[in-house]
Amino acid sequence: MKVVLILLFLALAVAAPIVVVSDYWHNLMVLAVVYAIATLGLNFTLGLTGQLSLAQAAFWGIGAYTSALITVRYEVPFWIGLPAAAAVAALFGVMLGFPSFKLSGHYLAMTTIGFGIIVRLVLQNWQELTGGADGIGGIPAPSLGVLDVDNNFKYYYFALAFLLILALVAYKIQHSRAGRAFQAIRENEMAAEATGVNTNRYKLIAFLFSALYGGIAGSLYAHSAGYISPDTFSFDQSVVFMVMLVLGGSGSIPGTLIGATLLTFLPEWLRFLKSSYMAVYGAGVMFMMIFFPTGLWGLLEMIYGKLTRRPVEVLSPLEKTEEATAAKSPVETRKSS
Amino acid sequence: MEILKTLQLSKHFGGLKAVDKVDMTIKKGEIRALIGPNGSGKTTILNVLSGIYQPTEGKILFKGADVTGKKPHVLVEHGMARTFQNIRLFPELTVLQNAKVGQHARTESDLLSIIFGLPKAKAEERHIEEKAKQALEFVGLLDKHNQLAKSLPYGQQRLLELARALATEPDLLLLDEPAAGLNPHETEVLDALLVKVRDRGVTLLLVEHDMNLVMGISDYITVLNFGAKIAEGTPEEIQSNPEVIEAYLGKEVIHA
Amino acid sequence: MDWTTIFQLIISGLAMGAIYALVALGFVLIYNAVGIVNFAQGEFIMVPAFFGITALVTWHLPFPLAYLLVLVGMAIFGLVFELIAYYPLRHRSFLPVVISTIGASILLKNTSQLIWGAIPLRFPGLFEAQTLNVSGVRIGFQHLLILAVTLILIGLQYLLFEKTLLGKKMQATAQDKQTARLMGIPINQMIAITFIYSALLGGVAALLVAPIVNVTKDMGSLIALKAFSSSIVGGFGSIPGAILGGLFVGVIEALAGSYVSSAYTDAVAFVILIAVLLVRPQGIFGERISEKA
Repeated sequence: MKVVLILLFLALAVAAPIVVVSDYWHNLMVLAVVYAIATLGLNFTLGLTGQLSLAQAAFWGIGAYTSALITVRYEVPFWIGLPAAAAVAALFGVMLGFPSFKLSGHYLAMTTIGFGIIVRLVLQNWQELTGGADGIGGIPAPSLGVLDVDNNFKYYYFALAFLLILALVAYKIQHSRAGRAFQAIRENEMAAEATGVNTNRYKLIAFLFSALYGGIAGSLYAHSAGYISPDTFSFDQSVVFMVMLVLGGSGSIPGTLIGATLLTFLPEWLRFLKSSYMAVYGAGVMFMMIFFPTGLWGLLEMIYGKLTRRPVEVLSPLEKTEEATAAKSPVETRKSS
Repeated sequence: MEILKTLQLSKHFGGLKAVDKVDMTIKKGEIRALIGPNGSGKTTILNVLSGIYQPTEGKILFKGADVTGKKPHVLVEHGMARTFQNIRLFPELTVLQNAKVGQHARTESDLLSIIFGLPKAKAEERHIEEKAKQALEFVGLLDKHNQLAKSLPYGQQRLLELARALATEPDLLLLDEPAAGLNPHETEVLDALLVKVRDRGVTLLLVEHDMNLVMGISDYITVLNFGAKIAEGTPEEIQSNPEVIEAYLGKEVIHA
Repeated sequence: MDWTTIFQLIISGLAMGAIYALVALGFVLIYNAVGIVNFAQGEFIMVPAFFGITALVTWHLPFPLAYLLVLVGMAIFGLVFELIAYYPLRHRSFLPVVISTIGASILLKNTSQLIWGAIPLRFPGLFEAQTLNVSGVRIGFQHLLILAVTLILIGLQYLLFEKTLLGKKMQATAQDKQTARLMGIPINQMIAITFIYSALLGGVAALLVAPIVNVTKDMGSLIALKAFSSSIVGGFGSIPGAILGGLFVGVIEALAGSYVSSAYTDAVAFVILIAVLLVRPQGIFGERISEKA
């Protein structure tokens, strides 16, 4: 069943820009892929490890600016810009990981928000380095030797390749000893530590991957857009990433992809709502939290379970209630990893 | 052979001496019980031993090595594991996944081998699964391995915590009120399991209120009151110790 | 050292700090009562600010009536907010509720934009930028009003919590719901009252600060984030901490904004936050962040 779904997804992903030909939509598709990579990053900290990080847009921005700056100012190719972006973002990610040792919940959230705001202010005000509010333009398209990835159609497949590799990596990590360590921290940090998990180390690793993915997404974004400015990389955008993750299904990779894609296209599909779109969006988030905290993926899994007459218990930290040890019936099962 | 030795171990919270200069020596293969009235410092001392609290004074020697002040995960690597008074499982993970986490400190696949799917990582993953399943089978939960931990009834959750601790392949197992909330039948099952654990070479230190359990399986008992050790001896000695009876003043529980 | 300027900055810093303190109080009261962080707290200022403009400008109501209407409106708003954003999620863990309040924030901001438009509006002030001149130091009337009202409000709040039965019931609910319930305290009512009170604080803050800022859908966001940081600086969960934290951040922000760099003024609150979290995470009066094993 899983294989069928994956093939279906791949088919859709590959066919999409061929079926829908307008460049406007191709641009959105590129954006969806970029957002998906960034949100996959957030899944490491928030989804798997339960660390409330609201700085994903800051990592995205750091990646975008790093890649843009060195390719524009020093005329190095994209293939140097990308790893540089990833590395610089990862560095900041690790930095932000240290506070997570002692802080959790709202303290950590506020620290990550503060970090994000400071980053944006720096991007906006350090004229000599970042060009300030004017942003950076003329960011070159990536070059594949004979081919330049210089339009949205090509860029979509280019970015999609990155997404598939990164999603595979995320999947492998999630279903490994490291993934279990992350989730153990989310489920019960003290027990994780007492069971042999070096919680500090894994929190750092979670933040590192989160920032790494964010940085890569940033670089891909910068070279597709050709122009970036500080406003894009705001706290509001971090909130968007969080909503994408949660709506799609926090802690699950398919959920993340669905959430990112959906929330990229939703503004378009709900165009008819015109200016009330965002208000509906906000109401939708509240609604989801009350009725579908496991996100769309959780909903799909539940429907699948009902259809195949097999009860499927869904994996999501958002359903956790305060009753830690209440027994539940009926007995429910899930594929193990 | 001494597996655990504490020297003048103390833990103060401000002015409160929760653990007061406790000297304790446990031999390998023992079942040691730690008892005392409520508030006598039993759970606190367990938390200090397992690295969750830093001791204010004193030393802890584990298998001869000084482990004072080391973090819990390091102690697990050394071979010390524990269970909690208020069950601390990973509720949204399956029973099997919970047990697998126990193997974390015994394995070492780094991220690179995981990402590239190297044979070393795959072999280790199989090893983890095997060990985890063994632990589950030991406590009788293997058939439930795909269920989410939160869906288990209370008694089985306690067993799962035990399995997870056993999966760390400990030499010393600290148990904080493992029988709390269990009915008499479940307590018997636990009783038998703990003896089996000891027979496999694991030393046990258990904090318990259930005197039947304590008197039934302990080789040796240490009694605390107000954070200090007031008596130590075999179950028979402790039962007839006037100071112990006085500490429990009014409770008939001693005469198990 | 230009003492005149410094003094002026301190006064305006205290005034802004008082606003942060009021918002921080709103946060802390909700947190103490129900254990959640309300990411829509900023909208508790934004909504009454807009509503006040409607009352004063569109309906031409006299000041006292308009102000009263805003406060009554906020009381209702607080109740509705509690029923929609908190009540359905009251048994869930911390994350869903936080996300729900973020959703509420987005909903409120954009609904406000639908109603009042996207252009920044002006809130008619009582004093029209008049200033008091005390031996060369110019102090804005509005700033003085902010400080005076905040002081009175804090005093009244102290009386409420320490000297009235209602206040004691609210405190009891905040400290231990189970026991409070066993004592016969209707905790759901107390929680609702806490939200209403928090909303009223937001209303007061709005009426005080709106005349000196641009009223837009985003006006509450940055204030709220800074207020949140301030309450952590003061010690999250503590009422004196929220107040002192707010005042402290306000003053440092004003001074740093003038003497260090005005472009980075907004960063000051967060730099202070990060510094405090690194050195003394529990803040000045804070809760000990520890878990029972």
